[in-house]
Amino acid sequence: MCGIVGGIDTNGGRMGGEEFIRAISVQRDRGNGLGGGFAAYGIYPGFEKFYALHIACGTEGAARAADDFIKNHCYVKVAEDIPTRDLEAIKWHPMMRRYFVVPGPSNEDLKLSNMAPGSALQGGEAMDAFMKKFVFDFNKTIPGSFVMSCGKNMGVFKGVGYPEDIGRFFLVDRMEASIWMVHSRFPTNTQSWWGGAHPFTLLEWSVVHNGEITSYGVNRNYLEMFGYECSLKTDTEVISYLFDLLGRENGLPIGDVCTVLSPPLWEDIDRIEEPAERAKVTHLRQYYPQALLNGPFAILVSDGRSLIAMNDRSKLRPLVAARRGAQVFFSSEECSFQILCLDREETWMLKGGKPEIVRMKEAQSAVA
Amino acid sequence: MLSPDGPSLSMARNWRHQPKFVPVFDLARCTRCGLCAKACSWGEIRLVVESVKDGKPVTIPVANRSSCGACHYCEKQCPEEAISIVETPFVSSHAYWRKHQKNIWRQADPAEPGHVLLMSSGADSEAISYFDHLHFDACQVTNPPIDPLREPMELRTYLGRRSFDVQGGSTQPAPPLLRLATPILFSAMSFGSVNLRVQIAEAQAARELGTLWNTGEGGLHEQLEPYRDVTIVQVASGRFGVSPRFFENSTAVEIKIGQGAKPGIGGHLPGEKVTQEISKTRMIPEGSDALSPAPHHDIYSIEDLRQLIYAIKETTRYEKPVSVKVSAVHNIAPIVAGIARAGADIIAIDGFRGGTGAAPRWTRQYTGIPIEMAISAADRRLREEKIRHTVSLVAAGGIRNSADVLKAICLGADAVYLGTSVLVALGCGVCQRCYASTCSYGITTNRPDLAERLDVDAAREALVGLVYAWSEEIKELMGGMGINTISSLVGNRERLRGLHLTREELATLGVRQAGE
Repeated sequence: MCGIVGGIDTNGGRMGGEEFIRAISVQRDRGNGLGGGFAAYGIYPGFEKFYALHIACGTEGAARAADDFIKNHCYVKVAEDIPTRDLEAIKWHPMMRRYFVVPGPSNEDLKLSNMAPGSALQGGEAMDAFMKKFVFDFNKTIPGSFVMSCGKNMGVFKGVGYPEDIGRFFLVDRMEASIWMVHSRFPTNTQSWWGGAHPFTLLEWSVVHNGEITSYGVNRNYLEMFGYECSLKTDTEVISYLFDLLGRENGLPIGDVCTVLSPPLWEDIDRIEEPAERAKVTHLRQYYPQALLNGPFAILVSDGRSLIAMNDRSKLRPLVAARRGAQVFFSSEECSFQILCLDREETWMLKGGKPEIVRMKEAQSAVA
Repeated sequence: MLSPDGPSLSMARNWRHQPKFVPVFDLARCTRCGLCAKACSWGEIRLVVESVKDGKPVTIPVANRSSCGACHYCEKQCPEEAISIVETPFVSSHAYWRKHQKNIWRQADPAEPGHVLLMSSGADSEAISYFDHLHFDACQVTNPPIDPLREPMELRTYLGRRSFDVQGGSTQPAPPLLRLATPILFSAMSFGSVNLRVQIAEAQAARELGTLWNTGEGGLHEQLEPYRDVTIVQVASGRFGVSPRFFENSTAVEIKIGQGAKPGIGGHLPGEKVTQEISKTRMIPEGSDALSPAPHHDIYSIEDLRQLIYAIKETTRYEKPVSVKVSAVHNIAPIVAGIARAGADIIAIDGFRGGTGAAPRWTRQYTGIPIEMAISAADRRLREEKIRHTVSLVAAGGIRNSADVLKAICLGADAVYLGTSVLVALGCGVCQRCYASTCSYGITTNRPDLAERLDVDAAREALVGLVYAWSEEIKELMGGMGINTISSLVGNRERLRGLHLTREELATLGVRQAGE
């Protein structure tokens, strides 16, 4: 069991982190203090062109190795500690580092040439591909360190503890974001460690997840064929990778990605009246059976342009939604809405396998 | 002291047939009806006059001790349940030699010296069955099991090639996918090895179940043409029955390179079995031996296979998926990867326990590897080569129950072929003598008097019942694991754990030790 909360302001308006800390704190029974985390989009205005690397390092040595690794592979605009606050509840924590980078020639290389940062890589796709490989290599080769997040104009703040403590530890209460995702963990399958807390991310994709993925073996086998390395010891990471593979690499529209992950039953597909639609959904199930997520789940996913909420096909995990003007909220339990949007206009329950995709109005996309 | 006219010693008796099985009659139960002698097509039971009653002879059954192979047909047919088949201890008490002494004797038999011993069915071997060492997972607390009686549970499976634009490669149109209501198909058993009634029952059952049956290499009898939507036709090294009509009346084509029971060798249907109907269907003269060569004489390497695959695709206008069936041999993983790259849409792998109508005894027994190892290795290799999602794998060879089906799927198969299980569902006692065309059950014989013992309707019902029940059992196992669609188990070794296996065996299967 886990608790999840999320919110999006489709006008790009800012929502304070304090409310989301309080919103997850009222779901205290859904977690057990072994993991909490926040994903916030639109928090680094002025740095939209840089990949924001959030790094956790268990030791000084790991931090030095991480620093070298990053500086060898990227142009580093800013390197700093992530500000934290001392809290009674957080007895131990890794060192938290933040780098704003452009992949490609390093600062040293640039000094020796007249290249511009990132000039070795053509276009955004090559940059993204580089960063993805960078993250997998980093997680594999720097023991004691892992990448918490690496997207542009977004960041993940997570660790072992109750989410309200983790939030205050990272000063989330002082942040403002246009998309928030929060997670409270009750780990059952894997041990708790700072890298195992949610959200899980890859580039701009981040995921919070309540549930258990029984198809994990199939999903993992499939992802590994395309170079994704599942190194974080938990089933949830496959969700962010599947969104990246299907949405970014294969270019499927986000609605189709959701159909692939949580498709209608065959008997319902056979009954779709519109032939083109029936053919499309049939095709998606025939071609991507290894990407289907089985087992009970409620997930929130964001790429900075939209917030997606989705349940397994049998609706075996709770997920409710609320709307207030241009803002839409999702939560495991309705109690969180009493904090976030007491004056909401609408509250509804998501149906099994029927995703809600809430898109940011294009001009205000949180990610540049 | 022996009298000069009495029995004398003879070396010929050194080779006298010593039966492995004999029928034993409980004469207290026996009503002297004589049905057992009629039932036994092997000539094991004769009737001997016991007395005369009302002027008519009363006979009792006596075992000839010559030809019982424990098919159990007489035992099942006896209305009074008065017959038991007893295994007789054979010759030596020597632990090592006694097991195979009979083979030495048979090969020294003066009546037929030095001949190759033929056997049917799959390997009759005590080699480990890995299926028996694999246990499934189930949900407890953190994840709810799913009740298949209340919740949807999907077994629908599509076999065939997925052509992804991003993969580039072939510009040929992708053939349609084969839709199966359940991941179980009827395996190749040719007209000749089984009779037409069996094939009609298979075709009818396949249609009722929403799955497919396979002609084997004996061609397609014209009575089976109406079942073209559920028929896979097989092209083997003998090319028997291959014609435009054959391709037209099929939904997919399978190239048979090898068979689990006899990797590396061809086939032999004796001329005595080539009746008029078989001669017509196989397109060979009546009474002539039907020999399938060991290799396809136009396939001496992988590039030749590619040409045959594409010759068939051209012939069938890319409307039919092409499957390639191979035996599970040591190097199966790269072989399968090569076949996938040669253009096959489906690859069927037949493990060493796969059945046969006739195969040399030791080829059947000791050639090839278990399907569990082969399917796992092939699945892994296709993933390493990043093409697993573009082709389908079918596992065959020794699938005995629905748990075996699901384990094969967890080890990487998209679906499984059933051969011996189909025959057992029709009553077969697995006596391993299909080559003789004397099958008491009327399954693997073309003698009209025996074949008519098989009722097509009853056979169809038995096959439908078998696959339906197994499918329901699979749903129960899936529900317990919290999985509601079969595709989420294809290659999902996370849901298996191994017992009593070495580290190497676990690694080859890709399965973790129980408790880990």
